[in-house]
Amino acid sequence: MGLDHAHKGKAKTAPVTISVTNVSKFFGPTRALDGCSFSARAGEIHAIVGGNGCGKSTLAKIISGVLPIDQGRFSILGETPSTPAESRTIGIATVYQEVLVADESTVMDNLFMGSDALFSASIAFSEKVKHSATMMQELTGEEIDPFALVGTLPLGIKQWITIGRALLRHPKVLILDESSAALDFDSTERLFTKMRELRDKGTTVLIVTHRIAELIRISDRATVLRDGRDVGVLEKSEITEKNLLELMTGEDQDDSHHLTAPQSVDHEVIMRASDLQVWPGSKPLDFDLLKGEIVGIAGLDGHGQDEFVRILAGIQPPASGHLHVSDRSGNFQPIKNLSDATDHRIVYVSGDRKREGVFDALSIFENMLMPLYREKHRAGKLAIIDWVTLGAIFKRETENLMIKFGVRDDKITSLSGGNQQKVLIGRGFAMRPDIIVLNDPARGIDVGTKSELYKHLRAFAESGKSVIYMSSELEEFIGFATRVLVFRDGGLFETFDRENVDAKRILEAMFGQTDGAGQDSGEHPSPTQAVETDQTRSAPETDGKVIAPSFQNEKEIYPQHMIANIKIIEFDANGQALNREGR
Amino acid sequence: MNVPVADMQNGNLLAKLIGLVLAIGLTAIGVVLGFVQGLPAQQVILYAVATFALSAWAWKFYLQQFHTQNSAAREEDGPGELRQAWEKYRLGVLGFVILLAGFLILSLTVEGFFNVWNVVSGLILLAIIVLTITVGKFVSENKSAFIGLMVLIGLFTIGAMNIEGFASAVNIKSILLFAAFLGLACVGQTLVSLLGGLDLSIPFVIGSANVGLLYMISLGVPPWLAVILILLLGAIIGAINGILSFRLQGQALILTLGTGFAISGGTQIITSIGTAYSGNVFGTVPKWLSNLSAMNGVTFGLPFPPVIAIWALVAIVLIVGMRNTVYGRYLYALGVNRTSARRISISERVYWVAMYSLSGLFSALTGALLLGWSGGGFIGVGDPYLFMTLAAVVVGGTSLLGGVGGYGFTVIGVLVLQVLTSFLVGIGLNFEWQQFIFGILILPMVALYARSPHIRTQI
Amino acid sequence: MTDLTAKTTEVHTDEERASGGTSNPYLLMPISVLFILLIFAIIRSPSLISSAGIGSAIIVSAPLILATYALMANAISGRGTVDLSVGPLIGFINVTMIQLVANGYIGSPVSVFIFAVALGMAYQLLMGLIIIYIRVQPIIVSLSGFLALSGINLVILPRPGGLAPEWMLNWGSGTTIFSPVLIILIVATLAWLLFTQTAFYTHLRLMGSDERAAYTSGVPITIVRLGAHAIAGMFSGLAAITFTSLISSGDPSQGTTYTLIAITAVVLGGTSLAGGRGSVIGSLFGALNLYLITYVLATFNFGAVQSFVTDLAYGAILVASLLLTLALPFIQRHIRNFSPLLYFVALSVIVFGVILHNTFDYDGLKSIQPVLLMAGPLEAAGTNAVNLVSPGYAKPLIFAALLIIIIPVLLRVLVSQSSRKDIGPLLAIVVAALVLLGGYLLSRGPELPDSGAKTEEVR
Repeated sequence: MGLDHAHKGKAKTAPVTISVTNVSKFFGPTRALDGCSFSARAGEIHAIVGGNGCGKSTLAKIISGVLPIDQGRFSILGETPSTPAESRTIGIATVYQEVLVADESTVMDNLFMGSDALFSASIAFSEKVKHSATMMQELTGEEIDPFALVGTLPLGIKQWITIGRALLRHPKVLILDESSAALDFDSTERLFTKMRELRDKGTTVLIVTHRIAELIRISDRATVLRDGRDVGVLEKSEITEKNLLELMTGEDQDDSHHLTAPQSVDHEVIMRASDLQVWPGSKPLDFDLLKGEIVGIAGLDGHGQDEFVRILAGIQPPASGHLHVSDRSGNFQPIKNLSDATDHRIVYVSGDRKREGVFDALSIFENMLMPLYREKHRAGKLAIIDWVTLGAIFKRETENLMIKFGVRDDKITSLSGGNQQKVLIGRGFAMRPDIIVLNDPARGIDVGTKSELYKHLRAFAESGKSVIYMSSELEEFIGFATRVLVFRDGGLFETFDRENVDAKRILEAMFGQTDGAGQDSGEHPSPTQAVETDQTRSAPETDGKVIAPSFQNEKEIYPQHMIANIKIIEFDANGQALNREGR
Repeated sequence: MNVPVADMQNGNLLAKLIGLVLAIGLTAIGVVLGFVQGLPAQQVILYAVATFALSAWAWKFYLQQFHTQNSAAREEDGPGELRQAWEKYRLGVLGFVILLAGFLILSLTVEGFFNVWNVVSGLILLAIIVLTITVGKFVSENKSAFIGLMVLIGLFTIGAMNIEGFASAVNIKSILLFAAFLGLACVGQTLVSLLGGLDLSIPFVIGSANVGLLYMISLGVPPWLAVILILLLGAIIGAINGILSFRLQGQALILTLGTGFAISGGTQIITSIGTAYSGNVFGTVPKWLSNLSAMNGVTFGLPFPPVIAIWALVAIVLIVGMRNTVYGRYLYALGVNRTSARRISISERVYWVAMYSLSGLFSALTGALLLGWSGGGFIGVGDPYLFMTLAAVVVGGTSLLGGVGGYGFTVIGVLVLQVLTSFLVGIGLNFEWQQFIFGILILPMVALYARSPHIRTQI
Repeated sequence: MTDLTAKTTEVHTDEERASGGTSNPYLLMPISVLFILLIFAIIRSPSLISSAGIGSAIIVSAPLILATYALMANAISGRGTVDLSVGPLIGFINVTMIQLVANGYIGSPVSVFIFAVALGMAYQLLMGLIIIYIRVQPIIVSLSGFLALSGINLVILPRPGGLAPEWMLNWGSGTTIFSPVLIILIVATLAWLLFTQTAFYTHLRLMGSDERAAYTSGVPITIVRLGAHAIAGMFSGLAAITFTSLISSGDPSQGTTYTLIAITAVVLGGTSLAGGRGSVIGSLFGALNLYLITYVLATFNFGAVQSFVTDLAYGAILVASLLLTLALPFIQRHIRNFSPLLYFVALSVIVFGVILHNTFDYDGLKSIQPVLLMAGPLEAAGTNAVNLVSPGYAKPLIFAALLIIIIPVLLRVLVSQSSRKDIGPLLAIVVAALVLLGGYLLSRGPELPDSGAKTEEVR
């Protein structure tokens, strides 16, 4: 703590290394950055924070010279790099969100990628071997053969290689774009140590992150972005969850969720998972889904909730265990793959529209009704599509969901993200499902569309169907989800139901701060019990300001007063805090 | 709209002047060359007037289409007027100059190039280009088909004017006949590239089917059965291609090249064991098969070979089917986005293998029909189809990355290629030159429809 | 999102230790095939192991090896760059060279070399520029080049003919090992090996393996890609020179097959067509393998179907080796510390055994009295041993004894060196042993009649 303060004093007077003024960047019609300004000084750890799609990664790419800007000015150490090669010569090193390594090459080559001149090596071969061995030892804590092929190494090590590559350059500006995503807890600590070392040497360390807890611990200053603009700079003492969230969301959230969540009427089980393991070695879980309920699924990024909903939808098989669904006559049938799931009327709607949702070059109509083609066709094996029937369905669904579009044969890409998502949800509804599994469907859609979506899902559940809803925006669950399941380390950690559904406590559970039904099942065999215990037990007493690196049981110390002030935290599956368009 | 009216008029005047100079230049060149060639004076005058009128009209048209907007939005304190004019009409002027230069060079190098028909066809070419650019601005969907059609019309008109007998019934029939063969061979290539693959085994399968069919017939297998067997074998070979390349989609091209070589080698080994003529098989082609694809074939009493009808039928079935059947739509779905398609239970493997086996089937069919045309088995009969199928698909506008295009486009591509071939033959260029031209042609076409994204956007 | 979660799963499921694998199993295949084929070839036709046999092998395989090097340079650069046009490019350089020589524009060795290399580089650079700036998939660019060049080759030289420069004429005789072609080959191979030591090659491999990683790390990918193309062009030029010396004339139609076998050789040699991985030795072995396949197949005397059998074999091997790349990750997982060199040494010992066995002069043995055979070795020590015992079988015996000594020594060295990364001393020993053995075998001279190994050229 004392150290931090000392550095802050120094940083105030240190020269500005990065200065970005009024920068805009467009991708076609979308504005990634819209007049964004920010500056960072030498010898500080500067965080860039913001919701999903606020342009923070774009900003990192612009500073690294990957993307050219459309308007504005920026200079780093007095220069304006336009390619990554130029930024490297200036002394900028960037670790990108994606793990960019060359699988076919050795660890050493990957570490020194780009450091050599065109024809001659920068340093001698033996030096390289030595450096890479020590660097990897230092970073990973284990011995890595510098000649090992990177393709044969696990992902965590690959991530370290990208970080090591940046560190080996002794950068004047180090940019880490979500670089701790693939790292485990110990590794993150080592990374932080490294970052502090660099800062003490006068390097500007720029971190782009969604992990608010980490950010609070490590950063000296933070710039908050929203909708492509900078909305505020926080000094070390001001960096709190409350301040960050206020800036990120723009305004205090109004508590408009006065609705009560739908409840199962007849308590009939429609889906049953037993001894289900999300990953090999993770804690097995049992799960019953009742008719007429909306089950919310939450968890920090990479804690298995995403896999869990995929397993429920039949998209990926569980590591072990069984999944059964009740068919219309009440018998339980196993779900082993996607076609089983489709047969038993389970549909899956992904929030990752671009990757596993829309068909870019095809029309709105086709995008919505593609899965129905094989049901609604005539002439037997000739399979001629029954356009008339489908047209009626299309009309009904678009009217239900109030999708705005020009002509039904327009390409799906002519719609906004929210409307595209509606089309996909319409696709799900058109299949007349009994269970609809939604994987963060609200990602990047505006508030109006979101509330419509909730309305439709609520109506759907009230008609006796079931909804599985994974979301990273915790406040979405309030007044909407019957139960909320919180995942941690690949297992079910905690279950909240009805009035216990509360963004604050879900967040605590996500960070492992509550007892957690999943932590020791002997004491808390059932989720409900866990919730009760939780109510009686207060959050860990750590009295405020301690943000020191002392850790027990891999749980992060979470200051009580901060938690008390949390209104909303939004995480999507990436763990990125979510963008709230239109607020 | 705060631009002074005078300025606008000024700009327009300048534009008109440029057009006038161009037209006069063109006419002057025409006149000079005409006299040099010793044409009658009346003719020279006539063409001069025609040239002048046409180019003036084309320029005016160009102005109307392109520059009404721009001239309205002119800035007042820009660079000098001449420079501004140059900036604005750069494209048009450059195009004119290039065309003019090309025409001049050809006129000076090729003897007898400067004649009436060439001048007129040059102007028609000009008109078509202008028309394509203008109308093309309003066509956003299926642009490639539109451009293809325009090229087809242009080529045909010019061909008809310049080449004796180009527009005759016989020539059209022969163009259609070869287009039918090519079109049938392209079915597989189109389907496969809609999935993002490529099939280079097509020419080898065609050759093998061609030789194999005659071999079977000469062995005493009833011709109808032999044809069915060959089609079946083709489909099986295609399926093998599909199965082998499914896991190696990136290398489908190389892999099918390999299987193609193996197949054609294998067929020849089988068919030429015990004979002295390697590569050729001799035998009698049944009459009905000859009738199917010979130039003088008769379809239900009508004087055109049935293969054209077969192709038309296949084309209609495919075009309608791709639009209106589940299979067709799912094929597009897979081509556009594999992951999305998998999420709605469309099996990529089934479609991949099915499309490759259809490719094999249609290659075999083409081979069998070519036997009817040539009357003798020859393994090399498929060789031109190696590049022709690919060129036709690409020229038609089907993206090699998958999901965009269709057989209708390929039909246009096929017709363009065949008319172009006929044209090239007509002006005396042989097969080698055609191959060269087609090879060069593929690049700009792919560049138009299937460019890869810049690396900056992929991070 | 899914990416990230998938990664997490990977972390959880990945059983691999952090130390990773360093072995390169990709050489397993070419080495195994090489020795199998070598044994076959020697058994079928021992004349391969003679001065003339090896000499003609070098002459015939040189263009193929060089073409394989050219392909490899491109393949390593990633983006699925498989230069289909390598065959026609060699043909193009060949025919233009022949025509220019015939017309007296070039003639001296220097000018011919400069011309060939410059033409190859110019073409490849053009291709590289199109790939980089127009961003068309490399495979399409190369296909387009393939077609265009095949066409233009026939225009330049309509049928095989013409005469190579005079100084080149006796290169292709292949009666001795030490021909200029061998020097070209050795220089080219050494140049490649040297090149692999440069930072540029590291850049190339990194770019090929992951272009985005290379770009973001500041590797100048445009220059590196152009460099890869320039190198490919250089080797294409050298391949064209050796090809010209092989056929001593011009041949415009070799394109397709050369492309196919060179691609097959590259794939067989363990180069990844997806980029990032390739080895000189692997490519060398791959190309030699294909030569040996032709050679072995030639010994079977298939008559008229000979070329078809080779086609079949090439196609099948290409497909098989492509499919094998799918299995290699599994092999890599199981054979963790595979040493290609050790494997090579082990197999070469076996092959030398076979060579000795096959080239051993049994006839000489039969003519000797059994008594002498018993006593021969003993008497060899005597003063008049030369008269009594033919050196034809004494030398192999001595060599066998030497082998018995060498093998344990080798094994001992291997064991002592096994923990070290640097295998330089071992390499030196092995190379020395091989050179000695080769020298011995050659010193015995050609004992068996030349059974036409030379005349059977790689098709």
